[in-house]
Amino acid sequence: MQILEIEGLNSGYGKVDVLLNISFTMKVGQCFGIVGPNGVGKSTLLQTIAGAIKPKSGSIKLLGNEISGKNPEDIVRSGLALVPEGRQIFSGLTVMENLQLGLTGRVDKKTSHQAVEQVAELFPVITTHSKQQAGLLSGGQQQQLAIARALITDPKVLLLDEPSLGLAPNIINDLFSNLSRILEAGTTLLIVEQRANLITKFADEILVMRDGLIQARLNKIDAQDENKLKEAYFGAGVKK
Amino acid sequence: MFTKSLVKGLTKFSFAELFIPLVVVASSSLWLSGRSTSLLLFIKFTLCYLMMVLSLQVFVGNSGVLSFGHGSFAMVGAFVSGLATAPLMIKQNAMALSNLWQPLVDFKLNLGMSLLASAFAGGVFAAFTGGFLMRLNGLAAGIATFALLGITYNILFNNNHVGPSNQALPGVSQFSNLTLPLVLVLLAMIMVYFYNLSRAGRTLRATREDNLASRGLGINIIRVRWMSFTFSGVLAGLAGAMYAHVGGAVQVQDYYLGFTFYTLAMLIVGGSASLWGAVLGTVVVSGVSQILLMWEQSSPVFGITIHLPIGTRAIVIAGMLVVILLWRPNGISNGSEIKLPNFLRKIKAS
Repeated sequence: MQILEIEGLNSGYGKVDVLLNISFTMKVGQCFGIVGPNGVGKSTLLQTIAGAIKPKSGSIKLLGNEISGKNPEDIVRSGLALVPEGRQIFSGLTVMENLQLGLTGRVDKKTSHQAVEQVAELFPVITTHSKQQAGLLSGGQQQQLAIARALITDPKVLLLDEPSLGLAPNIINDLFSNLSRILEAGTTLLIVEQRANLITKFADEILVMRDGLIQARLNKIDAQDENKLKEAYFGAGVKK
Repeated sequence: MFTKSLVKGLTKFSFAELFIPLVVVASSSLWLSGRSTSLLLFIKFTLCYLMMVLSLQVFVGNSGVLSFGHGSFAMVGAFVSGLATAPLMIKQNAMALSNLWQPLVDFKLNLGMSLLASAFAGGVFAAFTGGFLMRLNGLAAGIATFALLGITYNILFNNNHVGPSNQALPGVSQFSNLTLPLVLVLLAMIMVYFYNLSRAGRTLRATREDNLASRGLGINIIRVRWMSFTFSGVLAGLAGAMYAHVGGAVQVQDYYLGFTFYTLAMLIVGGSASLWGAVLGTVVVSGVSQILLMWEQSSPVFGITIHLPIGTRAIVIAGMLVVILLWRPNGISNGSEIKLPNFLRKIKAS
């Protein structure tokens, strides 16, 4: 069953076009990784899907419903949440207050209590540091909180922008093991990640972006072939 | 387990955070007002300013959006309460009121009801204008609220169908003692404190920290800001009415640029993010201002007389503002509510 369908998506900032005719579809429970050099539009793609940037044209469908051009607050209620680059936690509020804000975007309020318990089980920081000011958490803990806060909105599709950025290797391992559990629970994941070796092992498919376009769509086996990935990443003419 | 952990993690009601500011305001007001008639008048005006600063704290402090427009709500509140309590004879016979719209001539309420009406008018005006203004962010929002102040001032200042235009509306009934203004301010402090603790207050503070992340969590920024703007409009309307009932007259100029600057300075000097900041800022700026005013008039303060040139007061307050913004941008309170002193906390814990 298709959960996310993107067709002919064009987006950018003012007169600058960043995304050019992006099209792909995802099925329920899949995980896609997006890789590519800096400045090719990976984050812009996630922000456009999440409604933070209005697309110039094209279609974004979530569970068959058009969400293109809708406000971020409406999109999150439709079942799509974004964990932005840099986490964007509310540093002046406590951990639990951050989490509570996530409940604003949750449609099913009756199960809010269970949802908090579930994410607290997945991310212990919520229980152990509930009273602590979020800005005082370590980078890894802040990332846990950012993901937990997005999960609490009950998303069908979770977008993550550079989740491993600035984290120590052991923390990254923990993070991806948590993402595995989220995936197993049936949430569809779309992850922008600079660490290609990490995401190619984790995701079902890899979208390689360059110059605002999806240059290649690689399955798990092809994505782990270094030469194929390099060719897609840097273009033709790469030494093999 | 969840309920406990949730409650533990939320900023909760603290008796000291609310009780200490209430005691400070109540005790200092009662003590000082009993010392002389001029101090009683000073305290009454200071309570009006505190009401206005509380209004600004609710919106500016929580949303981070600067508003120069709250003077508009105070103006409207003052006019409503003034027109409701001014004697019919004055409204019918005063030259400045000769063109007053007949329903306003007939508009008559007692003091208590007029205060309610002014709060309602301030809230309705804020709700209406907020519907447009809350769509703006940052500098644009600040400038638009300034435009609102200019529009309201010019309508009320130049139109004698709704008021006495550039004249004063005399004969407004005055507070007979300190009780009513003090009770109103204490009630407002309690409401503001609980608003700041509430989910609505927290949500608004989240939008101040990160606009985009808030929307990404399903928060409708326009709506949460509008609610806060409306609530602050209620308090500003009440502040304007109180000011009129202390002075015994309504003059539109009283709520314009000087009033706006003075009350914003109080908020910033004390710290916009907390109730304690609003109280501290009002007390410090009012106190300094009153001392300097007396010295400008060559009157003694605690037996000391200094001859200061006229205008010193405004320069010093502006200077205080700059110093605070440079060295303590979160205000004297550092953006926090007051905490019990360490030794008292230890006693409480033991």
